[in-house]
Amino acid sequence: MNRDFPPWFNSFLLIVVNIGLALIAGAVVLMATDVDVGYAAKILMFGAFGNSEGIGYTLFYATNFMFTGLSVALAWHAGLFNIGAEGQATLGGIGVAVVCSTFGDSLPFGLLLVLTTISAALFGALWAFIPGWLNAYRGSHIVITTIMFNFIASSLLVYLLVNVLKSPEQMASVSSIFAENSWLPYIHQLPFGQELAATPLNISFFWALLCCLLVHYYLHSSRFGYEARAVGFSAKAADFAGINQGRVIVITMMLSGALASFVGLNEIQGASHQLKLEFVAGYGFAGIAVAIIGRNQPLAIILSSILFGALYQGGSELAFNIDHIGNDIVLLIQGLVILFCGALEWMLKPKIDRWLSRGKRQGVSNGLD
Amino acid sequence: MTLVPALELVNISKHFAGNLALHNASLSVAAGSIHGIVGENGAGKSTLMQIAYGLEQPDSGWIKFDGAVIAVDGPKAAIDHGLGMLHQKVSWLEQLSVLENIVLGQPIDSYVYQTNRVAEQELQHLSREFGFKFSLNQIMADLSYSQRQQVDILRALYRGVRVLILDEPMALLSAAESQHLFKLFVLLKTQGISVVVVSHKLVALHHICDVISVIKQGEVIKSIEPKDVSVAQITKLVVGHEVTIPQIIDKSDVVTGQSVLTVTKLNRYRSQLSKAAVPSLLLKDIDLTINSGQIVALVGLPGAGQSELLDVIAGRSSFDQGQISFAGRKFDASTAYNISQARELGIGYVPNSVLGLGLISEFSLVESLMLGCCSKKWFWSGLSRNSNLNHCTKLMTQWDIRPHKPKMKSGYFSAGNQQKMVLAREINQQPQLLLLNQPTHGVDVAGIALIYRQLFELRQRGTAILLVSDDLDEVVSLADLAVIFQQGRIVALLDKSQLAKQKLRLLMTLGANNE
Amino acid sequence: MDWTNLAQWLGLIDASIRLATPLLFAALAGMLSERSGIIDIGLEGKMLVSAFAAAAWVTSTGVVWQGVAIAMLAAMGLALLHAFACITHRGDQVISGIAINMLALAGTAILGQYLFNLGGMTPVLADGLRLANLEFPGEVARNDSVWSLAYWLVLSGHNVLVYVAFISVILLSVFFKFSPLGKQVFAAGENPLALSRAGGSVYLTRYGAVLAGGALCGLAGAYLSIGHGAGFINNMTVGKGFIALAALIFGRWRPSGVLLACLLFGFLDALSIRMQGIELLNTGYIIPIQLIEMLPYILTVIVLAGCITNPAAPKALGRQ
Repeated sequence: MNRDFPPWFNSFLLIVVNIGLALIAGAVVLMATDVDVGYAAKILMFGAFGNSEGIGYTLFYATNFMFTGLSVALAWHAGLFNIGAEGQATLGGIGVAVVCSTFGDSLPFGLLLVLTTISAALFGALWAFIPGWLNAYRGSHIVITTIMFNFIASSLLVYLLVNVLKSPEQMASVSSIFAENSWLPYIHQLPFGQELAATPLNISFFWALLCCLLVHYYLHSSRFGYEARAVGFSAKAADFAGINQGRVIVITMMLSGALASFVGLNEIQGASHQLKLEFVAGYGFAGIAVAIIGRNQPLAIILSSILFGALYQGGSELAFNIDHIGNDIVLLIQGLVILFCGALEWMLKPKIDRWLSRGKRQGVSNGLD
Repeated sequence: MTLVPALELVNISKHFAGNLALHNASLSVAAGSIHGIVGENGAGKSTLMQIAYGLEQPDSGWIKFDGAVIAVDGPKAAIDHGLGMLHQKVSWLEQLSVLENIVLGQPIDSYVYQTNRVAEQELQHLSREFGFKFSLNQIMADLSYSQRQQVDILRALYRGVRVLILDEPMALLSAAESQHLFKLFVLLKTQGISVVVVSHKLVALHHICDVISVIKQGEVIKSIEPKDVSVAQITKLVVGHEVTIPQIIDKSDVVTGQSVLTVTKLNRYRSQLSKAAVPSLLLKDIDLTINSGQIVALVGLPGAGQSELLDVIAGRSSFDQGQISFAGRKFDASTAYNISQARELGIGYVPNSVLGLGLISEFSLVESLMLGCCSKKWFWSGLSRNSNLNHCTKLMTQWDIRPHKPKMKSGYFSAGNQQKMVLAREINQQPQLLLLNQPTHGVDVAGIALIYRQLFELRQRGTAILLVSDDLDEVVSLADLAVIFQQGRIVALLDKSQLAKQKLRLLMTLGANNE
Repeated sequence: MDWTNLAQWLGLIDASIRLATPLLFAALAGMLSERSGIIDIGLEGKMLVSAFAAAAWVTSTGVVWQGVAIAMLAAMGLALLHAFACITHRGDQVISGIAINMLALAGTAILGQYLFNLGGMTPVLADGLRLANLEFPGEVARNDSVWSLAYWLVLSGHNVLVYVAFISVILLSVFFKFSPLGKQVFAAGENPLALSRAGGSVYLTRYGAVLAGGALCGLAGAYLSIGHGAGFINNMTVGKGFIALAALIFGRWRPSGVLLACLLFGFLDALSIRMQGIELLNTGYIIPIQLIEMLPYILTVIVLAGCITNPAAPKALGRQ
């Protein structure tokens, strides 16, 4: 019998195995710090999926990861490593806060939503534009510049919250709470979500899904996406074909920054309704892991975002229940995922290929097809 | 001469990702002989040599040096047993001197500090003995291609080579340089060193080799002595059938039309990164006119200017002085066009396939087909799948591109098929002027015939064709007019009646300024 | 700061040297690795891990020089991981570096909390538990004269590792110029094909270079936590590893260039500290502290913007 697996199965299995390795490594670290791994795993699973509250939070985090994951993936297709999603998301939040605090109670919600989306996108795109331009026209290493801009963004946020946008009512460095008119409806407030527990999950979740679809079509069906991929695979050949490499890089980075900025919609307009310090709690870096697992394909990123959302939600339950574990364990697993699925991606590929082709032995061709 | 072969490859088999590259290939190289290896592209010549040198490991079979079986697990093992290899794409550390390059990779005596005096003396001695004409302290970047080849040979001699393998050594050499190389081979032979030459140049090999082995589809099908067979018979063995390349006679009935492109007094300086204080010229005072229905070949040694002129005309490089008129418009240095503008004006360009510019390996063939075309035609969702797919399939049938899978990645097709695809794409744009750089590089004999037929058809339809080729046979077969370049200048124009090969070679080497 | 006071300028230079030292170690580490052709984004992570290891070890055992050795081992461990992923398995070098940074951040936080329960930091180290400062012998009087200050502030009295860093620059210079091993590392980064065809091992050369770079990073981290500082603080490297990378690029991958670049960054860092709370040109406007904090990062970007595409980079950098 000739068992022929579809070509993508090898990659899929490889990713699953790599994720497994990362989880096992994480479990080893947990054991080294005197944690009962079985107990921890149970808490993690139940915390993420066990009840509607857990699921709500999982999807809430997944929304953030979809935005940052798309951001990283889109840039990757053009051959760019956008490590700056963290800073771009911060600027997106600032953009949302500016609109909400100014027009929060004076404009109808629909118009407000359009404005915040555009504002977030503009701020995020701007933050990505400078590293992109520097990379395209000055040859500056984009990894370093985007990381620098992350640091600059976080200092900028502190400055704004301490000096400019600070709420007069509260001691902490936060902005005033926005007018309720500007708040994004929660899913549990919507007609079909009434039975769900109250979580910060809001309608930006649907926007995230839509963005995944849009980015997918952008990459595979549009001219700009085509040019971006051409530049990503072979800048020389793309240049030869008349594609303006500099323009492609800049536009791709701006779109990438805009995507990351929508975290601001979810967090600021949808959940906290005020600008806070460190609201982008590492989502930008998580986006890298999410993109890697999803092999930089927007549709797969939907799945990997949910996986990471579960990890985050389960992880915070873990931190709540077990004393000496902080959220750092989630960060550790994230790093392990990037290591095994990104850097050591092909370590087990030969073994898996051999294992899968055992079923193909009878159909070995003579090389011609 | 001893009877034990210096190098023996026995029953070598190797496969790459399911494709059988070599199948029980066996080769025996006698000591002190000149041994030629011929075969089509993809037949397995290079793979066999890479296995001998340890760059690849065979799946089965073994290697013998002077009768003893040796496990060659890397170049170091091969070098230790007297094997030397010259690759076609010679690879050096440009900033270092000849001496430093030769010494690189040698076992290290002192990790901290080491002068190369001993090595230098021995190298001087060898250099004198074999008549090499460069200095050991010259920087590699300053040497010509044939000088670098000699450095390569010197290094092999320094390491005590007994069997020297050369992979396509004559591809980029002038006739005079080739002759010099052949004399070197004879000198090596007298020292008892075997020379193995892998090449497509059957005529040259027939002239110099003691034995020629023919490789076909991964097997060494026959080893023969040239004195017993003719070049035509060897060709038949290589290809499997007789192939006729259309002769000049087929072309005489085309009337060339008016001028399509005129280049006037074109100058181009070398780019500013050069260390020379005085800017040197890549192209000097170029005057050229190309008419419709005409095939013009630009010929010269590498760097003489023919490729550079092609790049300028294509819009890939700028120029500094002079004028180009095309499609009724005039362009000077400040108003020069770029590649995409050139395309829009009606200039097609098939680049040298070695540079990897024509296709993107990771794109499917359908997607690669869209490169450079349709720049204004589509915006969003413009990749209308079906029409592109049909178009691609049609072209693949027309040009016999195999395997027939338009969605397969471009990089998986053989070099010859890739080249045909690029040509198909450019020709399909119906350019007024088609530029080609090494049009049949890497293409097998059947593919070459197909390409020549297509080019003649274009010529019939009135397209002007400008090509650069290192292959003198190709120039003789194709060109209505040959333009000879030397050191950036045009030194001669030969029409097809003057196109006898001897004359071409002479002109290239002596640079005579006659008509 | 009084801009006319020479003594204050000398103090500034003194501070620059101290601030430049960790950058210098890290940048030299990056130089070794990248000269052999392997991109090293993970300098930050290696510095962090070694800083933690040094502080943790010294806190537990009290033996300072062992702390330095452990720091080097820790960094070399991560370097080995990087080499394993990039050289043996041909993984993406940038992603590997990012993973290493993340693992270092999380790992040090988790271990720190588990071992010391202080929220991720190690206990503050007493003076006897830190690396000593070296004083030059000499008959130079201690007074306010320029020469005295130049001697006692700028030259003498620095931490022992500071002198090690400067000596490393000289050693690496010699290494690349005269040692055949240095030429091999150079070849691995410029033209690995030529090296392998000549019979040298690109594989081993790169492994060696990356591991040696790890050792240097270990010294950077040790300096941070038990030389300059007094213990490990969560995420104490705050981007220094990336600034070191920028210094490497600015210094054109040469020891002398890297030295100058790191001194420049150190100088700007020291300057920005002195500008805290300062009025801007007597206008009454106080420069916000956040701007001061941003300065090193902004300056890095400006430096990178100024270096137009780098023909100085090792040609085979990042390519498999």
